[in-house]
Amino acid sequence: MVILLISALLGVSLLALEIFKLRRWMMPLMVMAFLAIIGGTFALWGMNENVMMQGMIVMDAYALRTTAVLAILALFWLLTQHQNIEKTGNSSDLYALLAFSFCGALLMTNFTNLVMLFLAIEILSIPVYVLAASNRSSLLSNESGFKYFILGSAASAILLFGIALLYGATGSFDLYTIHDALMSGTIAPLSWVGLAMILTGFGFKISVAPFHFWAPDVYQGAPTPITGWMATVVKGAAIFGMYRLFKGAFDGAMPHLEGILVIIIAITLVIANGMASIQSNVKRMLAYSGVSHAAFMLATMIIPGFDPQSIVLYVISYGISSLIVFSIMNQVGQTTGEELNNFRALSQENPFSAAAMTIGLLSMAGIPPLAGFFGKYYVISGLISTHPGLTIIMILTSVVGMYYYLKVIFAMYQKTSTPVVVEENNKVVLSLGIIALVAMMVAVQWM
Amino acid sequence: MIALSIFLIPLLTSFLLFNSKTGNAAKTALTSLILMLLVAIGGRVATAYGLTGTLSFPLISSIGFSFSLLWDGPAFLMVLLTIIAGLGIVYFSQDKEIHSSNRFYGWIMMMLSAMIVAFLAGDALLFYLCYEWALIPIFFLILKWGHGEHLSKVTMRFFLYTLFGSLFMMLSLLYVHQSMAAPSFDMNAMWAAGKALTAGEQGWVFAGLFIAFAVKMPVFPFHSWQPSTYDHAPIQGTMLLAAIMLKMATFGLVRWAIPMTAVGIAENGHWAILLSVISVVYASFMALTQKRLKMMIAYSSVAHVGMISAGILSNTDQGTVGGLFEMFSHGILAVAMFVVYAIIEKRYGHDRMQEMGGIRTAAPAFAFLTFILVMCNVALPFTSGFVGEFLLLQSLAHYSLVYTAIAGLSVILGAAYMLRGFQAMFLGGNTHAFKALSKNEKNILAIAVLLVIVLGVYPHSLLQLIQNVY
Repeated sequence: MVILLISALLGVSLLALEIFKLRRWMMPLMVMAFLAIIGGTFALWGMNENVMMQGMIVMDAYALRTTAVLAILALFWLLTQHQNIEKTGNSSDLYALLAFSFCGALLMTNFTNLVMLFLAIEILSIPVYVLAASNRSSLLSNESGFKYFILGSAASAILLFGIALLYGATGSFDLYTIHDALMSGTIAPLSWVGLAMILTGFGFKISVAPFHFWAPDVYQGAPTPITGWMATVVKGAAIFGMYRLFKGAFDGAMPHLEGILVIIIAITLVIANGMASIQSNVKRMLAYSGVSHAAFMLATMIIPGFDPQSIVLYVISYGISSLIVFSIMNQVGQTTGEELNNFRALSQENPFSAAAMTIGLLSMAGIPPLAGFFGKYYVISGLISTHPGLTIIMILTSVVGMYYYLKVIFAMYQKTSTPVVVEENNKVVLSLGIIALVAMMVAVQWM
Repeated sequence: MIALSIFLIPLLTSFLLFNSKTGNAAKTALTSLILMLLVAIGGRVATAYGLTGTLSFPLISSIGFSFSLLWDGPAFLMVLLTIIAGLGIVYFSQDKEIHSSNRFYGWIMMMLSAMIVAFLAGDALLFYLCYEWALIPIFFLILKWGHGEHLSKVTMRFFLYTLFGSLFMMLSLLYVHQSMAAPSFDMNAMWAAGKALTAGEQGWVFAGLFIAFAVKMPVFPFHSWQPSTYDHAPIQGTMLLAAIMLKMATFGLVRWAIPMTAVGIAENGHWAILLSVISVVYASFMALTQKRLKMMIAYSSVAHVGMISAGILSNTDQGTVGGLFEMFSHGILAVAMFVVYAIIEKRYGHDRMQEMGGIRTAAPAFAFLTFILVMCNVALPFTSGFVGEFLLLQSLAHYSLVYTAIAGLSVILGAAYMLRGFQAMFLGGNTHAFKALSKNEKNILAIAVLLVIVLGVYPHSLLQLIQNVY
């Protein structure tokens, strides 16, 4: 409860700081709030389930773990991106919007009621629609915000419709009641339609095929720090919410949904990796690669049993690697551009940036012993006995993935006479991220 | 402790080299390698007096993944090869001016460290991790210090090809791992779990493992990355690939594939031995048609490795022992042969054999040393090549006499291409001024020749290390 209160008050206090002209306190306040949330989850670790607000939210082991992951990602995002946010001149609005969106992200991890889920999704998404369009002078950013808004609202509407249908079939918004209703005997056709619509809505939110079309345009158009936020915290929160819903409440229906999910995952892997390998714009390529990672995250849903370790590990390893990558890409993008050519010979003048980006990309590609490998490991080892065919598709598409990540690495280590020179301003934070990627191997057992 | 220090020394050296701006990188690397050699030999002696060299601590207990290093005979043999080959590579590179050399040696040391862990690993996942991780240093070595027009294309193909192969190994290992009641990647647990599978399952598990190893060795038809990569890589990179890196694959057969899936190989693994034998003959013929020395050595390496693979897969004691012995011998030979290539290439500026001649008149000592290496390559008795090849052929004979006869052809073909090459380069009239060998070049060839002969005359010195592998 305290954790949620902190996150909710954070946004309000950031706006208040702006009123009292205390802008320079915003960043420390946010850092302190995120640290307090991380500390809070550790303090409550191992606690019994605690249902709050008349059965609307619950603080259980899953909620604590995922809250900690989201707070760590948000903190890391803040530390790598705060200079860029402050450069824009309207940092208080942006920070406040981010804080509100973070509050929605936390709600996504601990709802026990479908109404709460819908509220959480809206609190999470609406600030991000604004953030995507926050670079008002850029046509692409406006397009990005608009597109995200229209498609996101449509997805929310479909999701809400699904929730309504499910309510019609089971007579309750409560996850436990729905769980019992779905577990007991036959499932009414109305529930199936509802489930399909909820799946569609979430498919939009986490951007898996065939609902992924918005992702490349929105990711490319939005300011890079915001893209980083969308790709990590927002996507992580959506997938965490989906996991709680589908593995927790829709248990009874999962055996029937499995076939659909397998098809979605397979199609997403093939399309996303195929499209990513023909992009010349690195940001767009990363957007498609993010879609393929969403497929891996979705694949954790069909691992038998409720064991969130795989999803938690995947989100945090993908999150930290992509934040490192987005951070370097932002530096390069501000100097020249985000095309593949702009990365040429980055290593010549900026060996640290090139090395950090390389490690981030290798982790995303799943090269051991980096964190991304263990993320993929848990998914594949969970699926190998039940879905061997899908694991082979995962492996083959991983090789395609390696190809487009390597293209960037190649560009960075080429030799030219006119290398790109960028400003390196957060070496310490990025080094911490790299250490985290390597140390994840040891940390896995506590997740 | 011994196992730990032996991989930590090169790793720390590589970090040191990456972070220092000045200083003599080659000397640092050389010192660290000599230290490793002393620790390895001292450790081996200490083990004989009862010190335990192994090490194990759990990393991820929920999946039974532990950082466990063994210190048994085969592992020691491969570590010894890694260190000796590494010494040869670094010692040889001293002569050459290499741009930004700190990083160059840093990558070499990091690669050695990854390969040492792969050889020492007593945990299947740890083996896999290092098998993959060793790709990163060699990738940068080729990309940054390689040469040639299509360098990035070649590097990309090499990297993706080998990565693609090893992912199948992961699938196989995971399949064995999840079949256990209490999942663990520990070597003995993996062996037992592999043996418990049906022959059909073992056949599939073996197929996955063999694809990974076959790409890396390489075995026909997975070899297409190899000639161009050897050609474009810096000579030190080629030596690392040929002398040590591919041994991870052949060693993987001995340590992981055979014990886990022996029944599967016997019943469903016929194709793998067939491919290995085809590989021997195909590579020998390819070597026969090569006009360039480097390519000839590359293909002769494929032929040797195919032989090792076929011998090991026939799964007799001689096969395993012969395979390990031949790995060691081939590692030393590969470094030495590429040194010969580098010496000639440096003086002629190219390596087209038919346009050379008469080196023997100009540099008789060099010709003599090279001749012994060539003899070892064609498995002449009293060289180390003979011992390994003989044991491997003997083992293969238990499996199939026809295959033995076909693979035995490679000895004849080997003699044909090696001697033809030697004749073209060293005999005949002197048409080109040939600068005398430097001290370093002479030393390294002399030591290689000495090793080759000592091992050929007294193979027992190594063989006693690797009896009773299982």
